[in-house]
Amino acid sequence: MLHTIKYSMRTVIRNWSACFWLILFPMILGTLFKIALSNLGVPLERIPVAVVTAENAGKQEIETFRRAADNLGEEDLLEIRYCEKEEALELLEKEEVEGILTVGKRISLSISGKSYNDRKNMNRNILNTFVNRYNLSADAIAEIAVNHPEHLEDVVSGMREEHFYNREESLSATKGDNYVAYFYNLLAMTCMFCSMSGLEISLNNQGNLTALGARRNISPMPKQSSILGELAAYVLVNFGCILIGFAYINLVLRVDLTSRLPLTLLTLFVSDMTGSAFGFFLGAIGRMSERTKNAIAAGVSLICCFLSGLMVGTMRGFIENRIPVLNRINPTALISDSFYCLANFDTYSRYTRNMVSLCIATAVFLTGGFLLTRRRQYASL
Amino acid sequence: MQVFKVYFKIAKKQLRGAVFYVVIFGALMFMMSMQTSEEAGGRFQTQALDITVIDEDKSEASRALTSYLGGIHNLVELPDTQRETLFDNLYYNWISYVLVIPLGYEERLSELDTDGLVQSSKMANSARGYFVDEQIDEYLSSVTIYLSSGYTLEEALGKTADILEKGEAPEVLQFETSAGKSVNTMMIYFFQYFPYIFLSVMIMGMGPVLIVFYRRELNSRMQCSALSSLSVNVQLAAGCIVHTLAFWILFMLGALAIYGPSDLFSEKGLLLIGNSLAFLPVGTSITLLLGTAVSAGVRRNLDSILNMAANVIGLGMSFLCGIFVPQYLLGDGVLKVAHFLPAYWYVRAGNMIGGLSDEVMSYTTYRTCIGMQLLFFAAISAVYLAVSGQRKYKQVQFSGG
Repeated sequence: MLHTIKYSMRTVIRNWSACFWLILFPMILGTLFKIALSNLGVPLERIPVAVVTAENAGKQEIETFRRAADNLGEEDLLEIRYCEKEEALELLEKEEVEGILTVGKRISLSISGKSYNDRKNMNRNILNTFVNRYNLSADAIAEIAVNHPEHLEDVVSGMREEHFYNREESLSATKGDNYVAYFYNLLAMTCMFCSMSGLEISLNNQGNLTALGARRNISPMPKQSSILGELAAYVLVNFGCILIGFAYINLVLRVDLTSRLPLTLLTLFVSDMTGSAFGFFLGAIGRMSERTKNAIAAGVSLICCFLSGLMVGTMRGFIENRIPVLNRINPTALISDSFYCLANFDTYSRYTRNMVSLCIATAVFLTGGFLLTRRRQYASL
Repeated sequence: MQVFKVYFKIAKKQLRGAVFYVVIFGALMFMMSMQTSEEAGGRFQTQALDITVIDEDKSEASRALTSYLGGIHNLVELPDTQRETLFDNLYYNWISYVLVIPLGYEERLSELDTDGLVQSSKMANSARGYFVDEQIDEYLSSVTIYLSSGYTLEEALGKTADILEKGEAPEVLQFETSAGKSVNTMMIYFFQYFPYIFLSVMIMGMGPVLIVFYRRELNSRMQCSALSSLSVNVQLAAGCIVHTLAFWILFMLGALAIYGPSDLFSEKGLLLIGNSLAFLPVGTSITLLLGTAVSAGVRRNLDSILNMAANVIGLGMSFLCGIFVPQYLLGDGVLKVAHFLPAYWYVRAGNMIGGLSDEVMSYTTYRTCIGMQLLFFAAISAVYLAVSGQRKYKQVQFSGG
């Protein structure tokens, strides 16, 4: 078998184009992901607003407003431009500000009905909450001044103090960037591309599909050892290619996927085996042509990647809340979830479950593949 | 018409694989448009987020806070409240916020011991999280004001509920806005994914047919035949055009079946159809160029290499140009780079028609976007002709030498 491994490795390396693409694929897409996605999400950013004085308002109201804006906690949250009404309307129409705050005893907010997107809507909602909070305090003080004037001073001084009602608790050891999930899926997709190698092994052993298969079927070498040796060689070479892509993502693109590095490498290796075994099994099914089997392998890999969130990031969560069993059997979801567990959780139970599932899938694909290819005989080649 | 006929003879041989790709990508397109249109919202509204409240105190005060938040947002109950489950749901945007009201909340609130009264979790630097933070602060600040001015807890909770209910909606000023009747959002997303699906299906479906023509032996035989080079190229181009149009018609029939003629043939629907039609030559020229490049350097595993190349081009262009991620979420630098890719202009026109971007609907911009796509077609075709000419020259040199 060692002989088979050695010569299979030489064959794979000589067929450089497949290796080349397996290396190039995560590199190119990883670079594009890095460029396109590092700005994802609806991050907290400064909200530009125009502030105008209401007709009956005086300097005192503006001063109170200034203090309230400074006390927001995030001093830089509002990017305030004090201006006249006409200028404010012009700024709003040009979308240079998100809203107009008209300051009097209370404040009112005007926003544009011109355009909508998630980020703008969120900014407008934050502004609206700020306005409501301001008005609420103004109304409460007015009411207390009438009903409980003896407490008014305590209340006002209490309002001037900074309160921390809400304590933030982190649920994960890391920052938990959503965009890194795209890289988990990219690596998972690369591993699933190893199915093409498995498919090639399967086809190379079928006398009715390839000339090489016909020659192999009449050779005295036991089919099982020949296939196992070839599989081992392909898995090793593919692993080398995946490692180059992985190193590029970590070292050049500076996307840190190295949490618990030995386990991350183990995940890549097991995923490589699962991908190859899947291709081998697929190649052994039926008597379809090479092209049809390739199309099926590519299609199935793509659907698995879609379901684990490669194209639409929220897909995995969507599946988890509706059909969780799909996430337990989808190899791509299992691979990306393993990276995610290693990066975000201290415990290993879920990671172990994923790894066991991948190993079982590999064993099932290999057994199925061997059962389908053994004792296959041809009347004429 | 021999070359034209041969083109379809080869295409027929590859039909099973091509049909499989069409089915797979068609299904993907439908699922993606369904999932994304579910996430898309409308015009301004107080944003109802999905949040989880874990009430450990189960007191009157904690129920009042939960009810206040429930009146604004959707309260999501999770199967369990373990850290992993909570983080999963935050990470994948299934929920935007987790609030824990700890045991002793009511007691501490009554005593005005408000530091760290509640605990929350959200994704780092999230505007959605900040929004809920502000609302909780607004609520607790109001209760505290009433409590410190001598009201009882019950009165303070009641007054706060009343006053918050009166919260005013902002005045919405209407400027000039996108014209025309609104159109099915799902259909807009269906068309938005078209470049990715089209490129993938064309590269994987048409690529193998072209590669047969580019094989050195067949190519050389064709060159020494009685057919002129011009005739061969024209027939080959005609084959590609028919192939492309067949896929496009199939795609339109799918859209017709799903969204019906009233949506598809509405003003905006027709503009989207026109936009997709302008992308056809671009996709075809990319496939031709890629077919030439791949067949030049690769002898084995053509299918798997075409598959990887299709994914690199399709996914890469989709992420950079705003097909999978809305253009407004991409940084300015990314969009500047995306200007040099045809799909950017396709998506820009689609977003403008569908009202998914800030851009006001304008036929001038629409025509510019279409024109830019056609310019890309011309540029890619020029590169293809140069590469293809270079290859022929090399072959002649090889045969001669």
